[in-house]
Amino acid sequence: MTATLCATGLTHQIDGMASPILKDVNIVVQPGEFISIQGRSGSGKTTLLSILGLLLRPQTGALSIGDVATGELTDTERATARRSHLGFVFQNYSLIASHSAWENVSLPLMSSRSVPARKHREMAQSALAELGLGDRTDAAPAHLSGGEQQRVAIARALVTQPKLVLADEPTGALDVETGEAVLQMLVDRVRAAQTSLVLVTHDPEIARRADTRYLLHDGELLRDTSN
Amino acid sequence: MTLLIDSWRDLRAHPSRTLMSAISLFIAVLAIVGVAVYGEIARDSIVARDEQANGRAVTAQGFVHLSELTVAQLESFERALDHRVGSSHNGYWALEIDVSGAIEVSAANDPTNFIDGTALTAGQLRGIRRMPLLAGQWLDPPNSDVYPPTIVVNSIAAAQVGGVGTNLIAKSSQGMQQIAFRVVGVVDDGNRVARTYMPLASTLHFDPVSREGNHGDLYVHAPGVGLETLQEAVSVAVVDSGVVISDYSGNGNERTPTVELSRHDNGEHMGLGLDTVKLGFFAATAITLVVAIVGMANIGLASIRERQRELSVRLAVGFSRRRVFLLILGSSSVLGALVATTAILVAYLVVSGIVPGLSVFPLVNRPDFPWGSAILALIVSLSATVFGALAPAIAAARVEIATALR
Repeated sequence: MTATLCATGLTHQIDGMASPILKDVNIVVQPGEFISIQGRSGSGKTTLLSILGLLLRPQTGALSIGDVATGELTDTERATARRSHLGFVFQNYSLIASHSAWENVSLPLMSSRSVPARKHREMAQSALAELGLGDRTDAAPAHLSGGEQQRVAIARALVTQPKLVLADEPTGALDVETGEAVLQMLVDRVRAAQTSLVLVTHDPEIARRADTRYLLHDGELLRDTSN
Repeated sequence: MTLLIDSWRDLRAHPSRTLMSAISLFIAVLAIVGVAVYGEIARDSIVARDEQANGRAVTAQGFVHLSELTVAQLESFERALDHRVGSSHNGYWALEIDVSGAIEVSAANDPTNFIDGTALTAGQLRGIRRMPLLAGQWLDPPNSDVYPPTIVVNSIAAAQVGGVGTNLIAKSSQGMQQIAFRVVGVVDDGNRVARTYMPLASTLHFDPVSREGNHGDLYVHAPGVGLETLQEAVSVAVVDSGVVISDYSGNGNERTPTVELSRHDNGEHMGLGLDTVKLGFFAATAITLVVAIVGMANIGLASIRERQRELSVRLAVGFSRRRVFLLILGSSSVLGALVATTAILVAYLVVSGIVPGLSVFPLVNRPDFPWGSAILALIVSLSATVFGALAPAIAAARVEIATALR
């Protein structure tokens, strides 16, 4: 079976830093697999996630999403690949304040030519309903709680039925109880959809729930096999 | 379609930016339509003033001295000119003999209240010069033997001695018998002093003394007809009428076969001046427009700096850089179209409702709405929004995408 994502030899150095933030990183994400990447602040977790999410080009190394080798893709082709195969959940929700919940969820659909405009609302509302927000579809982010906003962000990540969801500290801005509920919801949804999940966190408790765990330390990605 | 929807949401998303840009554009579009309307009115007004003072383009004028003129001779002259100028060229002619100082016109009940500015006229003076009727009617058709004869006064004279229906008394300083006149009309002749217009035929009929020295001006105008053709028509008319014409500037004994006409209106000299005025207006408008574009670009760039994260999120979820570029450009274009349409509607209502009421242009008819300029304003507005949004759109498309995760 083709891996959802396969990265080999990823190296990246940020201007002004003495050593690379990522050194020869290799990672394979299988379909439906839940992977966590744990590391301290500044360890390069976000940089790695940006590279895996085609938001940043690595200085060296190869990255494939499904069968598509992304190294030679143009910016537009990378945008298409993100739209078609990837979903993002950001730490601070990153919702557009002036857009309602369903308009935020429909954002990835707006740039897709394969989904007609008349279906955007219906699809967004359906995604929100699956996350228990069926009655909040018209609410603006300012009128939603932190947990609800993150659920909207999860709905936005899943509305296009991506192969892989990349989540960057998805519970980082939430209290423990809400964070737990939101995380459970995210995991449930990706498992139900057979979607792969790569979750970046500094919280060992959250990392421990993944099928496969990695530690990012001194720029190297290490398999975490501890209990 | 999705781009349009997204553009609209984008406008809604940033109300203060949208409002500021809309105000800039609104002023610019109103300025364009306003300049066009005002320019049109100003041109019409300048032309109207010239037509009032010097005649409609092309008006030709010649000095004439009609010695020992009788009513019969005048009628013969009128018939000839009616035929050669009126029927043949759909034109107008008018004889105006200024008798200011020679004839005094006073109120019937107050001889001390008199007007010394008077012209004896024949033909259709109002066909030559733009003299709007403020009340009543003009002297035509003249009927020389009806007593009291009619007289038309200008608005200053009407204010001094009375308007339509008033009886006036005219007397000559050279012993002309007193003749009563009945005011039948009040005109705006552009004069700032009181002036009356008497029918030449009536004064000849009731005051033979006035036959003695009738020297004045012959005016001829036919729409679209040039000076040479008018000269020929008048020359033939003079021959047809058999009236003895003397050169006004000559010794009075010299017989001339015709009246030497020259161009009297200023139409040919006014084009350049009007074009210059209009150019000045449009230069001012262009500056307004440039200011609007710079303002929009400034507002747009500031907005993009604030929206870095939002734009990077859009890019992260699959928007291409081209799509982000078009989003910023599209929202500006939607704004431009909406604002321009609103501004044109407002301008239309203003032009329809307020401009006709302005008393500073009494000679100017209600101006037509300048649809051509309105469409130009719409195009210019859309172009301005595109130009104004170009720099912000480029900046938006260059937003660093990885910002989304930071």
